[in-house]
Amino acid sequence: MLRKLSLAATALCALGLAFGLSHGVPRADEARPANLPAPLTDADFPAHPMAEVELGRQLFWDKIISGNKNIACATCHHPRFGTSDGLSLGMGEGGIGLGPDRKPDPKDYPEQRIPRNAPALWNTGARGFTVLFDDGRIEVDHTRPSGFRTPLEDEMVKGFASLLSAQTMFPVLANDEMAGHYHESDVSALVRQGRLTGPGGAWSVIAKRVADIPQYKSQFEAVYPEIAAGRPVAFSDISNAIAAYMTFDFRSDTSPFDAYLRHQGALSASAQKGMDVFFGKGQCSTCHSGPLFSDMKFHAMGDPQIGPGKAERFELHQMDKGRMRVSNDPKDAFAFRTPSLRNVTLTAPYGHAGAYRDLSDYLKQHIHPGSGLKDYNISSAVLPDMKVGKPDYNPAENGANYAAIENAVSAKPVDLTDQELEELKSFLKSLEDPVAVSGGRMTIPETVPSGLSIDR
Amino acid sequence: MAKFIFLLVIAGLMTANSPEVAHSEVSFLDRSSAIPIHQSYEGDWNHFVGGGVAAFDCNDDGFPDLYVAGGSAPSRLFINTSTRGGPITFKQGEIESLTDVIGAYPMDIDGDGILDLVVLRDGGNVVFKGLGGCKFVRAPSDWRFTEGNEWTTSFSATFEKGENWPTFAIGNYVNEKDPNGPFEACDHNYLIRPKGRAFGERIPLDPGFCALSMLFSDWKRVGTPDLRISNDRQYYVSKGREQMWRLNPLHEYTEAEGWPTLHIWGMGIASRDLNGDGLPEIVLTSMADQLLQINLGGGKMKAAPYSMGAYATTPYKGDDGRPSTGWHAEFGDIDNDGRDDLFIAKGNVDQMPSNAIHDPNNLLMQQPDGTFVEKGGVAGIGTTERSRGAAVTDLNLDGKLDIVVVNRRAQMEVWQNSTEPSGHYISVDLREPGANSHAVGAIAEVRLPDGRILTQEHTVGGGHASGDAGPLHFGLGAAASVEIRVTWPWGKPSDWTRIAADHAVRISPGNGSALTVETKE
Repeated sequence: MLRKLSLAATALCALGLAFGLSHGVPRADEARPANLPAPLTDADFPAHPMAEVELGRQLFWDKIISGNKNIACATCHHPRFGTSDGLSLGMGEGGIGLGPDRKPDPKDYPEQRIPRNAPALWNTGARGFTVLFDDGRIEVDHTRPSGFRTPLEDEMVKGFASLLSAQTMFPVLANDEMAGHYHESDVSALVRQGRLTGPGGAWSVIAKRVADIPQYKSQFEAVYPEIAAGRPVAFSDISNAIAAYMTFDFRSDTSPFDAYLRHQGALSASAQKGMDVFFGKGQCSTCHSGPLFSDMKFHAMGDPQIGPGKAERFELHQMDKGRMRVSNDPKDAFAFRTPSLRNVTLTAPYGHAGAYRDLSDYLKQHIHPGSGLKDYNISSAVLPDMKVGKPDYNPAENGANYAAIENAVSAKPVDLTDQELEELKSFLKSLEDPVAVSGGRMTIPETVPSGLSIDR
Repeated sequence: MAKFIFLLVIAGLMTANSPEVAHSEVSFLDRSSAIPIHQSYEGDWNHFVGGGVAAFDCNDDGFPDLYVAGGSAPSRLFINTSTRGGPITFKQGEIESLTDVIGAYPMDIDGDGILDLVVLRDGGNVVFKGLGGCKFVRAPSDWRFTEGNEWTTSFSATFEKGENWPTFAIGNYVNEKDPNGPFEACDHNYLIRPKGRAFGERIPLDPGFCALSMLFSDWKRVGTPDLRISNDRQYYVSKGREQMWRLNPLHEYTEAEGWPTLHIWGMGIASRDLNGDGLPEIVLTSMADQLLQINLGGGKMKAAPYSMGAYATTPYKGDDGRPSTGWHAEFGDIDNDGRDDLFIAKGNVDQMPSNAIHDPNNLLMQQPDGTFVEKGGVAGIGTTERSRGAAVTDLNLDGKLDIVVVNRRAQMEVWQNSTEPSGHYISVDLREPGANSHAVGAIAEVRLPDGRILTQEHTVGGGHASGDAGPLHFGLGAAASVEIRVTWPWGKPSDWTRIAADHAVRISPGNGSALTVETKE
């Protein structure tokens, strides 16, 4: 078990590791790439009282918020798999087991794979993380009266404290992710009926479930004065607490590269060369920019599409048009938000659909955008055995439409030698935070207030 | 009462030598303020669907009046006070107040020549007998109508051969009393056949698959209507299908008979011959693709190619790229160019994150090559409320089709067609002696000077909870006169008869195979 350390010990250890790796002489400033980002600091992260973080920790690991009480946030965002699930496309509601061992429950067989790779959660609580999900359907948007875009637009409830909190409200509404199917539960039925907000809606039903557990009720009262004063627990309170937890636990800014940025450590020779490629010849930092390694914008990079695609059950195709499905702008076809690269070595498989289990394979086609489509082999993916209605690999026009994916690519190819690619990988390895390797800053709870089992 | 002048019909008197109508850009004026009160389709889950409008002339002044469903809010009658060619105006009429109204379909049930009104409700349907002057009373008990106690969401009616009373099809949605619902819990549908000059017992049309639109239509043009039922997979889930019923003997078409299994999230039916072969094409509204099927004849339908441009899968404007949700669909020649156009009411069910929240209504204009081009944004009618029912009818008798839209949780809309220049038109009100006074089931054909034939069937049903008893409207393009013939219900085609364009005419059977044409003034 990776997460044995107490909170205090984890923090100390992180500190120690950061310094422990800082052997060698820090590189002279004049030799540093000019476009290095500034180091992350406390100011980049909202601060939360530890009581709120602790409440969120319990909720993150508690299956009570899923329709069938059989899946928690942590099930598909697990520290053992870099806060993802180790799969190309996850198996949400109806799966048993963790990571590559996850299997369909014959008694509650999943209807389809989750259409996109489970995103890692590192630093998603940072203020600079303004675009969430691969298509940015939850994002900071100052053109909208609320300042946010969410899938519910004007119908979105109030009371969420941050973008990350708003994001946290949606997986519980997805039938394939956490809600379950049809009339399996009160929540799944409401979700499929499209009854989300208001007194009888899915969110309020989940909130009541949680609030009915005395141990949660008393914690909510302790953390949120309005609830102590009598306001019922709303789902936005749950999501606020979970967001506070994720912000704290999955903050990751103590990698060797962070130490280097802070002039507190050096990179290996190979990583330094890779850094030069990243910020120079490779042009990686054009999009993977800033301390979070993302410009928070959308780019059509020609990654192979696998699985059911971003298609509802009433659609026949298997495409994932990425940002265009949100923005309705044809210029955004097959474009996905630049992912952060922090702890990228821990978050395989790669690509919005997880088409590549191997980082080298991913990089080889990524520097020649769209080049992986022609000879893509589905064995590059990590997909647990499962009966699926649509084939996992279907490049045809009426399927994933590889021709259109290729056609949408506008990024120019970059030529790197095999050695430069190896160096680039060394640099990416330097973004691996020992705290993240050990599973984050906090431990897995021993129990949760619902008494339900924990996916360890 | 309207005045009528007998028109002397002389073949060849009218010539069709006017030049081709100049290309016009379709446009509308927003007359929503003509509705004198806040009229919105409201309510909880039982009013996620429905929200219909009945468009019909209840005071015989030629101007279509409206009965609008309100769901949990009041349903109301609006009497058309427009003048010919003037701004569209309405005043509120008086009718018994009903709650939980889903939609309504007008038709003359008792053969007195006055339109009656079938009101679909969640919890028992109501039939109003029209008295004229836009006055209504509950249908007399001797009509023996079974109100039922279901959640009724669709309706169609026909007159079967030899009968002096209509046959109703009643389509019901989810059985709210089923403890295992709401999924896989679709209620029974019913056929109500006449028993003399009254309704008989309800005959179950099982299995029911949550019918949101029904249409009696002689879709094969064999002289006998069948009943099409479009069903919502959202609630039947997997073990249902789109249905077609044969009436005699009563049974559902099977795959063995060439009726393929089709699953859609069916919400509305529109039927119109688009390619001039006399066979009606079909539009079935749904989620994402709005399915247009080409009628190949012989009982075979084929999905139109995407290149025809009518699928209207996602919003054509705005910054929401999720799939659309279609409800009412209705054909009509908006610019009178002799080609039928297609209006589709769109809107999110309520809070379905899978579908566009801001989902504009469509106005798909048919081009000379038969493809459709979206003009809803250009015409100004592409509003993004949660639209449901609608009517496409000429409200101010200026010869141009106007549009009424009912919205869930928002004020209804009235759009006055201001397209200039507009082509010629003819507005046809069919009547026949006997019980079927409005000639339900008749087929009117208009022959243009270039030989092209426009075919319309007078049906009661289809759309989404919305019945349009307005006259049949034919856009004629440049033709100043055309020939018309009518195949009366259970009858043979009449002679071709020449009539002048740009009139509203009432047509009834004449001597032998002739037509009697009266021009409304």
